[in-house]
Parts: sequence; structure tokens; C-alpha cells
Amino acid sequence: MLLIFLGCGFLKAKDPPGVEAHRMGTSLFPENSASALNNALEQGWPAVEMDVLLTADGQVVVNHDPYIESPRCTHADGSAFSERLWIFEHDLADLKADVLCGGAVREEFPDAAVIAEPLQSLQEVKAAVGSGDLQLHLDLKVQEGRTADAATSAAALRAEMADFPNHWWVTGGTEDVVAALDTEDPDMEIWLDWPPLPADSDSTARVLAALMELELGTGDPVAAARRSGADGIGVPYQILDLNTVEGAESAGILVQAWVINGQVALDRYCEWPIHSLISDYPQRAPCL
Amino acid sequence: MFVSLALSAALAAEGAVPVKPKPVFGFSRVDILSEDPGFWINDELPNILAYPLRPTLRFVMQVKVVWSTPIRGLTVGTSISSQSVHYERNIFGFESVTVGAGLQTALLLPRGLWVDVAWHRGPYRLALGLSTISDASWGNLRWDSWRFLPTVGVGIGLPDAPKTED
Repeated sequence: MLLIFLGCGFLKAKDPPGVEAHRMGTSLFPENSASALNNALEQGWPAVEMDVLLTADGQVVVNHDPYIESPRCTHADGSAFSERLWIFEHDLADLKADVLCGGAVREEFPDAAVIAEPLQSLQEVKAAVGSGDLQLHLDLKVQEGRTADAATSAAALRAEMADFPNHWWVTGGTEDVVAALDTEDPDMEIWLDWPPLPADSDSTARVLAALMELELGTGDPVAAARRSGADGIGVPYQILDLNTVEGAESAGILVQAWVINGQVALDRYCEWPIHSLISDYPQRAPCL
Repeated sequence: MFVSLALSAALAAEGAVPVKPKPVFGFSRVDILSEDPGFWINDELPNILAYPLRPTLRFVMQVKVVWSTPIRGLTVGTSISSQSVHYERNIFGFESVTVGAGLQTALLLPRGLWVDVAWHRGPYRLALGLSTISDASWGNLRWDSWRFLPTVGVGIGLPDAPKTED
């Protein structure tokens, strides 16, 4: 009787969430790499998430951090970088000529392939995807003083994606980036990541702080999305609650949970009434 | 003690009604499982295996201290998650069963209501109710999204704490 009584309050998904491969499927291949993209295409995954930012000559390159460093990356001759190489200070051609990434074993993904590859440009990604079904989720990286500014980045991204035939959308890490993207093209599908995670910050501490903000009502991802004009919000699954999902739904804002890797969590969140989820292990998701 | 017993006996013998102590503002009970807002039992408990930390933290945050007030049956509750004002009274002539209604807030911003039926036995209180709650917060002053949630309340109080309306 109690279980029946309690069952009334649980929101059930109308359709299962979509599944995106985080950093193109980083549990199997180096993150954001051509190998990872080729695997996603071969597996027939519906969507990949990738991180993009601008080079010095205004080209859009795929990389999570605004810098290159060892051991993940090395010079083309295999030697380690003695200090961080900031992407926005170098042209794409120079980066492709002298940087190889993915050639080191990663602790968090010990079974992933180890392949040293050049950075991908967004143009190369588009060419590889071709006219297939793969959807692209672009996470635009903007960091004051370390990347191109939001307006320049938004313009370059929009120009680059103008002729892409598949469904694509872009995430901004802050309300300012979202606003810049919206100014560039109000018809672009734009998402906001919440909470904002400053570069090199302790993400665990920030997520826990965000949990307190949610609990106390001092932080609200739906309100943040409304303010910035975002079409969707990406929220760490650790703090995403069904109340936020319900509030977003009634505001017409899509919701994505990231990054979900455990099998129990994937099984559970595949039943949530959210738009999509991101995982390093999309192959584990029952809703794939 | 003997004096008060003797006095009570004398009053009873004369047909006088014993005077109950006047309720005051003070500690009444702790709701281990509080009825408002009702998120924990509806949202967190079903997902506790997926990510135990959040449900655990939220369980702690919803534990509510309930305070009695000078108005019999009217209580004020405080937890990290929520604050509330609740009024309950006996029904059907049963001392141990009450019906009540409450207003729930987040950082004192009103955001929902609930109604309940509670059973009292000694220091224990078990309640079943229905909560309606919005997504309003100080960062989002809108009451346009509402959920209806069944709730369960489990409280433990002082044996002699004033609880209900006569």
C-alpha cells in the first residue's frame, strides 16, 4: 500500500533519454580524438560530445583544455612538454604539426586504446561525419585571458557550423558565453552548463556547493537558463533532482545529466524524464 | 507530589475539571522523515543506489525540528531544506488521530502546502499526507510549476509535549 501510495509522485519518462558519448567516447579511445570519432561512427552511436575552442588564427580545434600538456600530449618527436602550451597562442597548422595527444595510458580508463594522434579540427570532424546520422554536441571553451573571447568564439563556431547538415547544438560554460552565442545567432540551439566550473577549480567541491545552493534555494539552474536564454541545461547528475527537471520542463527548457558512468546509475537515469545524458561509457546505457 | 495528588483528588471530588498545562513555545519533536517538501521519499529514495551521497546529504538536510507554539496544535518546523507552519487537530473523537495542514517555505519564501492525517502514540508521530510544491526560490520568484507529492512523516517527540487540539 505504501509503495503504491508513493508511486504517485515519481515522474516517469515519456521517452528514454538520448545518450551522448562524452568526449567522443573517451572510455575506449583517447578523448576528442579521430579514433574515438571513428569508433562512434562505427558503433552507430546517436551523438558525441566534444570540446572546442579557437586557435590563434581563428580555427576551431577539438580539445578539452585551453592548453596542451604532458603526459597526455607530447611533441611530434615524442618529447614531453616542459610547460603548458596555450592553444590560443598558436595557429592550427603549427599545433597539428607539433602536437600528438592520446599516447599515454590514463588511470581513469586503463583499458582504453593508447594512440598518439594530432589534434582534430572541427572541419575534419565535419568531414568525417559527412552526411551520416551522428549528432554533434559542441562544448565551447571560453576562459578569460586564456582563449578567444566569447563573442569571437561564438562567431567562429557559427561560421564553421553553418553548412553542417546534421543536428548540432552548443554548450556554454557560463551565462555570458550563452548570451554571446545567442547574440550571434538566436536560432542556434544553446545549452548552459550549471553550475559554472572555473578552469582548474575543484569540481567536487563546486558540485557539493551547488548542491547546497539548490537545497537552500540560493542557486537555480532553471533560473540561470531563463536569464541567459538557453534552450537547455546540463547539470551534473550528482546534484540533478527531479524538482529541477520538472521546473525546467514547465519552462520549456531541456535537461541533460552528466557524466554518468556507473551501471546502476545509468540504469536509473535512463528512466528519468530528461532529454539526454552523457557518459564515458555510452555502450553501457540501456537507453542507447 | 502528594500535595498535588491530594489537591487533584479534592478537585475531582468536587466535580472540577482538571486544568491542562497551557501550551508554550518550545521543543515538540524531531521529524526524522519530514513531510515537507516530500522530495526525499519521492525523488531521492528511489535513486539511492544510483548515487548514495546526494540522498544521504538530502536526508540529513530534511530532518526537521518541530517547535510547539502557544496555540495548541500549531507548530513551527525548521530543517535545512525547509521551514514550515503546521496546524493539526483531533478528528472523529479519536485522541490519537489528527488531521492537519501546513505551509512550507524555502529560506522563508512560501513555496507550497500540504495536508495530512497523523497517528500519535506516546512520543511517536506517523503521518501520511499530500504535498503540493512549486519550484519557486529566491533566485526564481515564479510559482508556475507545481508538483503533487505523497508524503510520509515520522517524528519522535517529548512524551508530554503538547501536540494536538482537544
